[in-house]
Parts: sequence; structure tokens; C-alpha cells
Amino acid sequence: MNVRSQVSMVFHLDKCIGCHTCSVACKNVWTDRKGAEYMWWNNVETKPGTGYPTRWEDQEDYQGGWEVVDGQLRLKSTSKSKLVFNIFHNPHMPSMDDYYEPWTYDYETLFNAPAGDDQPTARPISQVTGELIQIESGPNWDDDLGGSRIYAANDPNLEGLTDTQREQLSSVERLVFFYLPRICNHCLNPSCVASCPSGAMYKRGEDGIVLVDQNRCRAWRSCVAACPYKQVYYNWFNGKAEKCILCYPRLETGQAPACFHSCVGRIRYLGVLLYDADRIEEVALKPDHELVEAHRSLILDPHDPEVIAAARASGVDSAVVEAAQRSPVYKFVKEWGVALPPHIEYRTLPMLFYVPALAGHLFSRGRRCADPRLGRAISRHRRVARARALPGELVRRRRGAASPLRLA
Amino acid sequence: MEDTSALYSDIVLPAATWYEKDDLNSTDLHSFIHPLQAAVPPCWESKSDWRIFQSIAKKFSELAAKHLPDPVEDVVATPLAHDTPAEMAQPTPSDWAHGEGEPIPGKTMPGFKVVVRDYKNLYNRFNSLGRNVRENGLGAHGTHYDCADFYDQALDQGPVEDWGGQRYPSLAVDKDACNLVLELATVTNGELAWRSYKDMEAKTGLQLAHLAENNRAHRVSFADIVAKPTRFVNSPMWSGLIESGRPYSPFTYNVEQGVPWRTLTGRQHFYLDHPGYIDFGEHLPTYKPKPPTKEYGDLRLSQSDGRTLMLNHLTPHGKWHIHSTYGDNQRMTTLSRGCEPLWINDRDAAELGVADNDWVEAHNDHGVVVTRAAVSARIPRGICLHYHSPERTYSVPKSPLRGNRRAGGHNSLTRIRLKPNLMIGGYGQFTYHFNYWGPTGTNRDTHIYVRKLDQVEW
Repeated sequence: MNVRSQVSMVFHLDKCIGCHTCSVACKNVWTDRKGAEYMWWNNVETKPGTGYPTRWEDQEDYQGGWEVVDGQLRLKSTSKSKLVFNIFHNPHMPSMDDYYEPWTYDYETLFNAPAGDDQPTARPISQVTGELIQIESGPNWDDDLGGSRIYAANDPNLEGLTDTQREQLSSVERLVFFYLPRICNHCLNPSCVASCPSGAMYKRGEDGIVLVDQNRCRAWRSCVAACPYKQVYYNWFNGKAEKCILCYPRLETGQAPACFHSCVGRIRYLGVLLYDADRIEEVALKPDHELVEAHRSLILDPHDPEVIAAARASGVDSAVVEAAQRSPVYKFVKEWGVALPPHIEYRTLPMLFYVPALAGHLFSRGRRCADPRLGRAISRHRRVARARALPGELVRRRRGAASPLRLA
Repeated sequence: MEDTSALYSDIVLPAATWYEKDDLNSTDLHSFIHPLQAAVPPCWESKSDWRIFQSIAKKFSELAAKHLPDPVEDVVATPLAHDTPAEMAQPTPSDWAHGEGEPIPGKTMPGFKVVVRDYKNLYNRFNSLGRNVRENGLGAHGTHYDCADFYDQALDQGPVEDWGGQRYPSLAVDKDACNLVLELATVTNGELAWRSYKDMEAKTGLQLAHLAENNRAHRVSFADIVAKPTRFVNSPMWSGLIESGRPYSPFTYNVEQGVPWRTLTGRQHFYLDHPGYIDFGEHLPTYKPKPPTKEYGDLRLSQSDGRTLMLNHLTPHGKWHIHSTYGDNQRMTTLSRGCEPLWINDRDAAELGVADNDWVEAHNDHGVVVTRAAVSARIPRGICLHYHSPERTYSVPKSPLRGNRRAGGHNSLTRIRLKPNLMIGGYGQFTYHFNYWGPTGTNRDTHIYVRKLDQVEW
């Protein structure tokens, strides 16, 4: 057992009101700079929707994350042989069109327009070129199901839906949506770190924060392609990769990250998890359907004397162990089993967990539930109901398959 | 301030923002009083609202010394006001203008008062807390209390103004004005709350002063609310009792202390037997269907030409701004769509040949809007949403239907319709009070024609 500690996160989606205060707090603190205008280290997406950058979950296209080939983990985006060919052009790299062209307005017009018989108005101009532009996309373009036929209907997560289920998306009485706030998942098996040819990316030992060494970054952008969550960005002005740093300067002075601190719905929980670093590769190699449980099994009980002893042996400070014992994240993820990793099939083992939104489930399924007992259960026991709302869980239960969740 | 109106103004008075001035802020949504603090001085030429009014008063007084040197008497008509006896002034409706009954000021018509305007001394008076507070006491919402001792204390301890042979507590500096407010208000001065309850005891014959007994030594200064959030204390100004950390809940004062509601019966009413309400069919809470579209009369002159759809036009609160404030902030325009789009249903849009983000022109007899369409299954058919309030200072093109002049904001399509039975007063039900209660405008409900715009002119 090789015990390490990580500052981990839970986002409770039923509490998110989609106000984007987190995004603005992050933007104001970290990415209000030239070359970073288009970056949103924290963003909030409407689901169903295609998100930012658009269709980031479509790994057929973007080739992010890991795959298992001949019993070995392999980056989908790159390898030693691919790297040479992709030096000048990586076909899976998101382009500005996939994000958006950041804009401001030609406000000078309001002051300088010559006298006339009509009111002047400021037109949008690109923050990259300074030229007049037509605004065709933005970092939150499909907010609240805006353009639902184009965006919500093309959410890569909906590919398995039946036509009837799809019809629901365009019927105002039956449609549902929820918000998905996102930051870097500070994964245990980060594909961005693995992909970096310069060794500029690393996962901090003491808290697991994934960082880019700005002095070593050589603008290969392999990390941008390799991250399946598209949480590493390229600064077009200074030629360096940048990403969410979990506000480590704030954490180190006892303050919550800016997005956590500003969260209006108080959906965000931060806490220490202890995990067994020796088992990471073994877990990341598991078949898809075992991944959620295997990932959870990496997380160690901070009250277990053996774990505490091993933590001490590997240099984890006793204060960190105490923090792990008080961690709300541990309760959500391990004790209650209601917070799940996003897209575990990418095999990066994310350390940001989500409590899935229940509201949509109640409206879309609970009301016309084929099994009245299930409907009753939903209203009777909120926690059980939430667990049943987890992706795939309803199907597993109907089939009588074993659930990876502890429903208590 | 709306930026758009500023473009049409001859003079713009730049008001300092929240963190550039000392001020007080409160609301009836919670029971705390907020300080606004000058963390930095106001930018460029901007000033606090207090300083702006003060500067105007100063210049005005200089000019008045020459043009209006002597006091002038003005007759002021005052409405029959909420929380005053006038609320029950006219239990049977009659209109003296139609020969029904007598015109009696304060009963069948507004009250009248002669006010002396001393324009030459306007600036001095702005800076001074007048003697009337000392002689007559203070009150609101039907309450009253004497505060002469606190007035005198302010004369002793605070900055003062001397003019016209008299000395007054000074309001010249923002923070001093804030402190006087806190010192003379019942919710921040427990002694005055106690006196106000005593006054209510005389009016109601009930025992009420115990509600403030423990707070009589309670005082709140500006420095106190800067140091930490401070709650109000019990006061008959409010109908909720909040002692010992109890959350505010309205009418607990009435329910628990037996204080009558200010209605004709002293009880809460569902039924209102006023003939005006009976004529309206609203003497009981009732459902009323939406009037037929043409009854709104907003499309009498407008032509539906070409591929046009008539939609119900709604202008709710937006997600990216508070009315007109902050919506044109670069963060907010980036997180929305760079303009305030018109949200329409996807099937309605298909009928119009409109795809998401296409330009549309929406118009009726009152005005025209040119913006982009946000096409969404979230919007029911037959309606459209245009969140208020977009500024015309950015992203608003010209309107072909209006001879290529700049298109308008959301309110260019709306108009105000006063609901007549909400103007009925004097019957112990709702009565007018400034910025508190008045007839609702129902201006957020009209109809428009929408069509696709293939090309936009700027």
C-alpha cells in the first residue's frame, strides 16, 4: 500500500442553479489576460448540450484519454510514433471554432461617431484580430437549451437514446435539463501529464493538483489533445499550456478555490481523500463496467489503523490524515456512494465527483414509471432515488444486475 | 442609470458605485442593514448620490439668492396614503366631481398642505436635520415616536451646521447622515422602538412595549454595521417579530399580539365587498382568462407582410443582468450570446424559416426590435421571450421597417396599462405609498409580428 493524499471535489448537481458565478470568479482571477481570453478554466454547461469546446465528449473525434490495447494502457491521442507526424498538425486538436472567437465591442464608436440623425451602437470585434466579427458561438452558447435542435440534440451522451426518448427533447412539457459545472478533474491517471513530450506537466505530491511548469512547456499542445475533458488550454499569445490550478495559492493560505468560495448554490465540497497509488494502473486497466467500483476501491478508509500507519510511512502528514477523516468528499464518494466520477471510461480516474441531478429523473421517469414500486421508492427515499438516477443504474436494477452503488 | 438614456441626455451625473461611497442599504427581503463603504475614492468625475444632490442644491441656492430671494408658499396635494387613517377614509365610494357628496381634503380627495419653499437656503437645509424632527417626532407605517433627546444629543456630540441664527445636526457628510439615520430609526435604536410600541399601546389598548423592553439600550452606528452584519430589532414599523435570532415572518406581530390588521374589520380579507371590485368580478380571488389578442390593440396599424408570425411577447427578468445593469459587461455578453436574443420555439422558428442565431425583426404599433433568434424547444409555441433590459449601445442593428433607423429595446414594443381596480382606495385595503404600493403596470404582455431578416445594417 502506497498511501497518497489528494484534495478532491464533489459537485452536487441538484443544487446548481446555473448562475455561472464560479466561471466569472475564475475568469476574473486567472484568465483575464491576453491569449487567455477564450479560456474558461471553470465553465458551466447546460445538459443536454454540446458544451465547451463543442462536443468535447466525442472522443471518436477528439481522441482524448486512454484505451486498453493488448492489456496495456495507451494514450488515444498520441504515441511516440504518432508524435512525429503530428508535430505540425494534430488532426484531433480543437481549433478556435470548437471554442469560440473571444469578442468585445467597438465602444469607441459611442464617443467618436460623427453627429447624425441616429444613435450609434458598438459592434462586436474580435479580441484576437481586433476586426469586426459576427458572433456565431460562445463558451456557453447553448445555455438553457438555446438552439436545442442543433446543440442539445447533438449531445454525444444521447447517442444511445431511442427515437421516442429523443422526441422528448423537443417537447416543452417533457423536456428536462440540468447544469454541469466543470473544472479540471485533477485525475489520478492524467493523460495530459502522460502525453507531455517536455515533461512540463506534473501531479503535485502533497495534494494531487495537476500543474504545468511554465518554464518547461514547449507548446507541443499534446496535453490539449490528450485531456478528454479538454481542461488544458493553449495560450496563443505566450505559447504556453495553461489550466485550472485549483487556486493552489489560495489553498496554501487556507482559502477555498475562487469557484468554490463564490458558489451561490453551495454545490461544491472540497476534502482530502487518501488513496493507494500502487493500484492506479491495475484499476485503470479494468473493463468498463468495473471501473466505477474499482476507482472507488482505490480510496482508503482514513479511520483504518493500517491505512493511517501506511500514510505515516509514506510521509503523509498527520494533519492531512485528520483532514481526510473529516472530508465531506469521502462521505459522498465512499460512505454514501452517491457521488460518481464523470466519464470513468476515459480511464484518467478523475478526482472530481458529481452527485447526479435528480430533478430531471423525477420528471422524465418517476412520474410514468413502469414499475409503481420504483415510483414509490423515489418519493420515499430521496437518497435511494438519487442513486437510481445515476447513469445506467436504472437499467442495471431492472435487469437485476449487481449495482456498484451502496444504497444503505 | 441606463447607458442608452445617457446617450440622449444633455447632462450626465456620474454616480459613484457601491464600493466608492458610504451609504446604507436595506430591503424588506431580510432583516439586516447593509453599509456601502468607500473602499476607493470615486473614479474620475463621479460622486456619491449624496454629493451630487448636495452640489445641485449648492448651485441652486446661489442662483436662488438672486432670482428667488424670498420664501415661496406652495400648495402640495398628498395622496390618501397607505398605513394612515386615510386608508379607511371613504368606506362608501362616491365621486364629488360627479356631484356625489362633498369634496373633503384627506377623505374624498387628496389632502392639501401649504409648504414654504426657502430656495435661497436649500443648500443649508440639505445639510441640516430640521427642527421639526425635534418638535414633532418621527414615524412611518402608522407609527409615531418622540426623539427630541436624541436630536439634542446629536447637537451635543456630532458635527453641526450654524445658519440663520440656529444650530442643527449636520448632514453634510455622507457618513454623518448615515449615523443620524441609524440613531433616529426604531429598528436600530431600541429606545425609540420601545417608545413607538408605547405609542401603539395608546392606539390599540394592548400591551406591546414588552416587545422592545430588552432592547432599550440597543444602538447601532455606521461603524457597527461595517464591523459585522447587524440585524434590526423588533419595531412596530414591521409586522414580523425577530427577537433572539427568530427569522422574520410577516404578521407575527398581528397574530401573536392581537394587533388588528389595517382593514375595515381588523381581520385579513379574502372577500372585498367594494362595489368597484364587485363590478370587476374580483371581490374574491378569481381566475380571469387572457383577453383576445385584438383586445390588446397593439397590432392595429402593423402589417403582417410576407413570412410573419404573430407571437405573444414576454419580457421577463434576464439571467445575465439586473434590469439594465451589468448586461453589457463583457463577461455577461460572452456567457450569453453577445446580444439580448429573442427566444422562440423551434417549430415556430421553422415556420418563419429562422434558424438558431439568425437575425429577426419584431414589431408592433409601438416599436421595433432587431436581434438574433435563440431557437429552443424550451419555449412554448406562440410566445417569445425577450429578457429585459437590453441596452441599445451595443449589438443593436438598424430596422428596415423603420426606414433603417436604429431598432429599439424590449420596451419599444410594450406599453403600460393601469389596472383600474388597483386604483380604488380608502376602503381599508391596499392604498398608495411611494415606491411601496401602487397599481401594477401590466406592461409585460403584448403581441408582436416576427419575421426573418436576411441582412442587417449597422
